[in-house]
Amino acid sequence: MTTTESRTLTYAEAVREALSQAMEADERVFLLGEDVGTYGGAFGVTGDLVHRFGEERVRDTPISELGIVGAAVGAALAGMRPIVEIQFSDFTAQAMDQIVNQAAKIHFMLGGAATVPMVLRAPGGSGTGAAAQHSQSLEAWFAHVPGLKVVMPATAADAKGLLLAAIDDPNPVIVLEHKLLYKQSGVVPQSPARVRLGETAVRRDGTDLTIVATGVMVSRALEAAEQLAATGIEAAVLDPRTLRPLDSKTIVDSVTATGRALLVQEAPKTGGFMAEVSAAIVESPAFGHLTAPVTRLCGLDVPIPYAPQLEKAAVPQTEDIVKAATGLVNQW
Amino acid sequence: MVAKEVALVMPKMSMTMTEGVFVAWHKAAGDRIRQGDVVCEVTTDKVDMEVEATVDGVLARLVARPEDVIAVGEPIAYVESEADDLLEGLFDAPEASGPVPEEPRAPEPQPVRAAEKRGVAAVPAARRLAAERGVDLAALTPTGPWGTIRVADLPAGRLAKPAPARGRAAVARRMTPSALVPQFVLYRDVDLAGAERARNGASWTAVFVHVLAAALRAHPAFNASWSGDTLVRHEGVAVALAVDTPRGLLAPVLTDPDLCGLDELGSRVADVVSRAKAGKLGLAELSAPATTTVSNLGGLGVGAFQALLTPPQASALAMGAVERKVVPVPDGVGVRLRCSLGLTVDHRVADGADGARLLSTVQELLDGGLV
Repeated sequence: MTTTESRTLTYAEAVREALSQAMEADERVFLLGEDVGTYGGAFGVTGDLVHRFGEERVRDTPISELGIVGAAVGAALAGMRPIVEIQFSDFTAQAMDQIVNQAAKIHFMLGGAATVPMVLRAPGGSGTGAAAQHSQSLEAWFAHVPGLKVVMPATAADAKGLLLAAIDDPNPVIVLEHKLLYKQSGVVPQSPARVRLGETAVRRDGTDLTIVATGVMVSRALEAAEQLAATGIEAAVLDPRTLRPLDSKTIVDSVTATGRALLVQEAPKTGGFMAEVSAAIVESPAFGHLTAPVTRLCGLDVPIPYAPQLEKAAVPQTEDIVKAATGLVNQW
Repeated sequence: MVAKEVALVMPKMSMTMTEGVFVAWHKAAGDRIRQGDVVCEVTTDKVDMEVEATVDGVLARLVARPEDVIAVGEPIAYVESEADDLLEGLFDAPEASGPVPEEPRAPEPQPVRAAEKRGVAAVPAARRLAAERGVDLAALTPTGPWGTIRVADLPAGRLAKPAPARGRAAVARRMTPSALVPQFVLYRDVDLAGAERARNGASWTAVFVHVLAAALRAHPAFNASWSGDTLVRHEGVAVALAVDTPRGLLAPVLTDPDLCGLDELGSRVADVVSRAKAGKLGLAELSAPATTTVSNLGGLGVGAFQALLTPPQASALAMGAVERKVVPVPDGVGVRLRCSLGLTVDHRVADGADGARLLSTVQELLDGGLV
């Protein structure tokens, strides 16, 4: 098998390939979560891995998020490399004590004598009609906690590359996948190539404004940038990929060049991660180059509604990005 | 000791100074400063000056920003200080035994002008470009949302023009009123044969400062100013010497330059010229009232020129190059050391013939009156 080839895989297949390559490479890597075994995962991500690696390494667990994460923290402390799947990221609320008070802090509280090399994968975001308790974008919760790393892959290639880097990392990493992206395809290298944590990706170059987007908003921002280009507005599209640690330099450099920043997130605006990106821009030398206020385009401050029309209206869509970007360029 | 905020104000650095332009901070907010430390730089209508801290403490709040025009006595910054104020309480009413009626608090000094400037809403890039181009944001019409100045509201010109040298504004302020003075110019070539023998190494500039001062003393009507509708005569003679410096034109003043020997004057002139070029002049030297000005462009190859009066001075002497010229002499032509002088005169103070007589005196002094 050559290792340099690339093929088209779905985002879900890319995650599965990362899991299987990691399990092949390192016996300490194992999966645990609700229905990750025989059922193949709530969104089919783990698929047939239980048949390939056995029930010892692809472990179905009881419905107890706190117990699942607690077991993973313990296993990680004992030298294993657990990968937890939480069916919906909303359910991490059940496991918050283990994530925030144990996994994130043990390394520091023990003076560096122990590490918790675990990965927690959880799908977030709306768009599937799963309503308020199954559709949230909770990245800001985790990005706020010292000791946690947070990644949000927006492409199939990043889904694989960032997950492999997360598995390598000696500290707990939260991987927030997006439900709507699971079926989207992209070119993915066959080799177990890592995407380094803490590097913002420039998805598109542009001179008139910089759009920073995360998760499913990256593809919407790219669609918007195409439409904007037709009207003569060249938008750069940046995907931080890793929220913590955040590569703000790439963002700052881009905003310094364009003078305008449109920050797009699916999560509600108040206390959201883009507030952090905004602050990073205005606290940087890019400030003096701003020709317009740093502008956020975010989900509404409401629980995600069940009705499809309302669900769509609650989070930014491609046309919303086009409109906001056009206003930002033309008004300023 | 409780720390309190003490205002660092725009100092009054000359009798005529009513406002100063803020130039630059030498300290940052939060810096600990000691009395006498240079905190910032301001410019008067004549010169840039350093402003020193008046108390020990921490520079708490910066009020002024570059280009702000601030009235004398208005705050530039506030210093948080625990220093003893020896006058504190001295002028308060004696302590009453009963309940003290609450005194109305003295109003905080308001940085009026600075606040007005700070009130201009502009995007950061517009502020940066305006500063680079020397554009006053307050003079622009905002077209952005919320009345904010956009980059597009700046005057056209993608190329960032360098801000005009600070000295230009001072020259502009001082020389614009000159246009209101009816002035004429008299040109005369003077012979320097006698002066060449007598000057003993002193510069020609020093020689002309000396003889012009002596000539004015001999023609006191010229050593005057037109004020309102009367002539005001000046007691002493003070010659402002125009000096080309890296920060622009400066004119240090030499008082009574004809009352010392030419040797000594030569040293004084050399000293002020070198200190002017080095930016080391004292404010007194620049702000002393002058009664005339000497300007020498001969060293730059200029043969003759017209100097503008600097109001309220009634005369100005322009020196062209000192050089050997072919001139008529008895029985033919000869070569003589000469210089073309341009004497500019306020016509309200004197007439052409008066100016001609003054120039004759200059020639006589050059011929034999040098001390």
